Amino acid sequence: MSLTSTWLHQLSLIWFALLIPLFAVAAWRRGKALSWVANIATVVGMCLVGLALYVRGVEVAHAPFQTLYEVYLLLAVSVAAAYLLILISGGLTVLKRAGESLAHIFGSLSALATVVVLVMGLRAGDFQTDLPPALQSPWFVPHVVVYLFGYGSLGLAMASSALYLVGLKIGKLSDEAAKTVDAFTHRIIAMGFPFLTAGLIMGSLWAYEAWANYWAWDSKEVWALISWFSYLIYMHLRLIKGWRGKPAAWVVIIGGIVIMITLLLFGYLPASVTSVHKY
Amino acid sequence: MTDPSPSAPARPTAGNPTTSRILYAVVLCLLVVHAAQAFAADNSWVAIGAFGACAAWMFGWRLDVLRSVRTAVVLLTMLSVACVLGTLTVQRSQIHVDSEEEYFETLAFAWAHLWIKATHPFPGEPELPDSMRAEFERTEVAFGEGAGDKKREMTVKGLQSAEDEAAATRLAASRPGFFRVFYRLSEAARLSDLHRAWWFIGLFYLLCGNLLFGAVIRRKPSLRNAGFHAAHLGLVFIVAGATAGAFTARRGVIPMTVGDSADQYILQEGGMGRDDLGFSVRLDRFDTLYHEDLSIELLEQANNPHAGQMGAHGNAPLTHTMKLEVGAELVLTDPATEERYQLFMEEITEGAALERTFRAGDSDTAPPAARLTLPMAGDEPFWMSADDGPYLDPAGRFKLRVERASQLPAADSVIDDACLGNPGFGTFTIQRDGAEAAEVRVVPGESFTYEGHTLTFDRVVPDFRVGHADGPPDEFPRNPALVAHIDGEEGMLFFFSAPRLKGFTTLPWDDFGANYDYDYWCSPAQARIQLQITPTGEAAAVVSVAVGEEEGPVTTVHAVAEGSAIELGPGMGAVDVATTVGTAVEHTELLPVTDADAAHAALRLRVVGPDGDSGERWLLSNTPDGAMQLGSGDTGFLVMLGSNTERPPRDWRSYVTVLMDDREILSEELEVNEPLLFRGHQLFQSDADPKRPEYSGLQVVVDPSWPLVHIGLWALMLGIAWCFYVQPLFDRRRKAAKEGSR
Repeated sequence: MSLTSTWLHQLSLIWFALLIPLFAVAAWRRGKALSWVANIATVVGMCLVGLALYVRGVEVAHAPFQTLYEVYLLLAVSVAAAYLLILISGGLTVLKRAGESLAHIFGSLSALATVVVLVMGLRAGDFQTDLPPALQSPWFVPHVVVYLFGYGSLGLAMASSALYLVGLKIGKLSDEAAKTVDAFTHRIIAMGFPFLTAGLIMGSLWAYEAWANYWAWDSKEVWALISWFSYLIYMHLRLIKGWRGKPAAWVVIIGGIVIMITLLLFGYLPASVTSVHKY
Repeated sequence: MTDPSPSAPARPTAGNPTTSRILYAVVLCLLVVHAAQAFAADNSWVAIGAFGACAAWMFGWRLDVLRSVRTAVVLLTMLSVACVLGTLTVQRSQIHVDSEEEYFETLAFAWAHLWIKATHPFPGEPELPDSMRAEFERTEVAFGEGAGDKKREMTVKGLQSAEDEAAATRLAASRPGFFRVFYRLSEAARLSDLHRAWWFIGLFYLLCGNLLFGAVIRRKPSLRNAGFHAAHLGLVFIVAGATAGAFTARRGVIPMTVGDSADQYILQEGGMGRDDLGFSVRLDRFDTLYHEDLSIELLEQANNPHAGQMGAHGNAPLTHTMKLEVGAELVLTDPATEERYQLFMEEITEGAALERTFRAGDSDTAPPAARLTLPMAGDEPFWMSADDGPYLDPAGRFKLRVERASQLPAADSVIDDACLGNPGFGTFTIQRDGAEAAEVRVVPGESFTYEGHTLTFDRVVPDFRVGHADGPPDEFPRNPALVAHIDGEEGMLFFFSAPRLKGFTTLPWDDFGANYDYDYWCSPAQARIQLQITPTGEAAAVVSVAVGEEEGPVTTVHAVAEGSAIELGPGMGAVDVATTVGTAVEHTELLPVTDADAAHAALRLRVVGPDGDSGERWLLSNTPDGAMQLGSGDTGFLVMLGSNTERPPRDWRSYVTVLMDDREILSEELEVNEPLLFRGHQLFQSDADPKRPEYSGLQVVVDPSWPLVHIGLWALMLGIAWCFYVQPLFDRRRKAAKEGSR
């Protein structure tokens, strides 16, 4: 069998699906060794999806960031990379202060997010198309890669907020632990938000070169702005007394939903009848 | 990567206004602005005045409101909600409609479509006709690698979205009153023209005020705070630049053809107004650039009795598109015989042509051929053989066919014409081994019985093309085809009259063992020439010329010697016959061509057949002449090279020269994504027309405020990166210093 991106895609899907229970077992057994195995397996999984993306690039003969299928692959790499960056930068050590098993549950959620993204990628279908003139720009790769890394990390922030809200709801989080999870969420957003900003602005700079207009209120642009505003709201909300914690966590959840609409559903919006962002 | 403004819950602000008070102030302000814009009939200055008054009210008496972080949150939330609402309707700035009714229809359709999508997010699998399913299965067998599955997936997606759209159209039409309520609401709030509604713009201005007075002037400038200031000021710069741009920027287009010069551009807004460039632009050359890779198309022989049903939706040969590269390999399986062929791509060239020549051969079965020059000025002489279909004059004046003759008709005689008064579409000849040949006039709908089989002619397609089985009815018959079927048997039969497609002219009928020939010669062409050549190379021309519409043609016979001409008739010129060969062997050669217009791309293939025998062959893109037959005549494939010029182009490139006072200042190449800036004018490559290869549309933007926006964008991007990645380093050092001193 020849090495195809679809095959590697399916392989990495199985790999990450196995990681979910692995992290769960690590959370349950509180084993250090198991947690090492799971984290190294995440690195291997990221490399697998990365390889799938590379092979796809060879197959289509351009940077593989055009179709939804390709973007999903990149998003899967981004989620895994964001998880690993949080791990390396000591973010998970912070989370462990709120409870050893929380870090593993978060790892399990990250793997789940990757699996969801990979499944959606398979559903999208690996159609190939030529790169239209507007996409042939030096901005193409940085705009998409930076954006998708932002999406990946903000997706994990959404998982962390869900952890926070569910933990409070079922009474498994003490006030102190809840504060730590809240700080952890903020830490992830602080990592991803500059990427979201850079993606938005690179898109604007690119649009000026390609379409002679840095901002045209195209529906995709508008939703990109809405998602950017969501995290701005989150950042400023935290400065107001009494709005940290639950309300902020809900804003992060909403922000994640807005990103999903921006990425996936914007094509169905009435304003998208003439969108130039449909690829 | 920690909190940029560490553990600072609410900073005490003057009065610390409550959220409801901020909401009250902001909403009041926006309502006044909205009302002002509505009553002043879109006079921007009135709206701006009203906004100024409101802002002064907030600034003067409620400074605390303008300065609060809460206000920032309230404004951002309101902006987000407004943006969401704005995308739930069709923005007038994004579409062009001729009437309000058309706008409403677009809107109702878009809403209905959203409703359909929301209520049926996962559309069911549509019912595929058997013929399609069979086609996909056969495609999968033939090309492997999921080719058939992919095709099925694409078809299903296409059908699903078509179904959704049809459902949305029905829904929009069935509930006009319902949608009109939403339409009125959206109009009243100016949601359909959101970014030109002053209440929306006002939100941005209030946000800027909040940024300036609430953030920028309240934090001390320092290296630590550089990101904070850059980000907040950057946003103010962008809004200020956009506002300045709205009043000062001009945008327009210059439609050009090669050789044109322009010193004005057509303004995009405000009718067909024009503005001076202040210099002139000349379009020296325009190129459409195509993707360099090629695709391969594989057609199962259309008259293969094993082929899938070819029904009313057009003929459905098995096609497959793949990217070609030197070194690539393709395995083909004939679904009928399961024979496998390996195709190795050896060499790819751009700009090539096939030259056909014929040499005298010694085989008795070889067809005769002639080298001819046509009565059109400047035409090159070319070869035609009896295996080719007729040549049809593009101007429709005549058609010409080379035929094998055992005996030449008497020269200078006038003979009866079979076409005289023929109401049909030529003749169909069929002959089974050892049986009498039968010749029938082709009349669609009529049947005839031969050797126990009944063949019915279904229709005649004047210009048969793959994927377009029904060309326009008045199409000039460049490739006429006869569609027929045998009663009681599945499948359709395609007989070609002008088939450079080798193997389509005469084919043995599967188990019936017959040869047939479709001669579509009673075409609308004015004159018909049959150049008859005997195996010894002697030639005569049978020329039929129509005298009048009612009378039909008069047919005469001319003796033809090498180097002589066949007179066609008054005003129609003559066909020069340079060479005639009685039994000719075809020889094709690939020639490199420099003329870009005539050029085809070509691919050299090495083919390894099922028996292990291999051979090489050139394929020429986008022409049946360059096609290759695989397998035996009736069950095999035809391999064709697709043209990359039929796919969307890779880019467009305009070569322009800028002139001032007839002096050439500079010459530049414009491409999409590569604009040219000259004297404050940005020129962009923005339009092209595949039907007019010399046309190029340039866009002109004069935006003096762009530098401000440009600075703002970079400041915002770098400022935020500084805030989250660099500022924490300062804080960490300060914290460490504090702990150290303790």
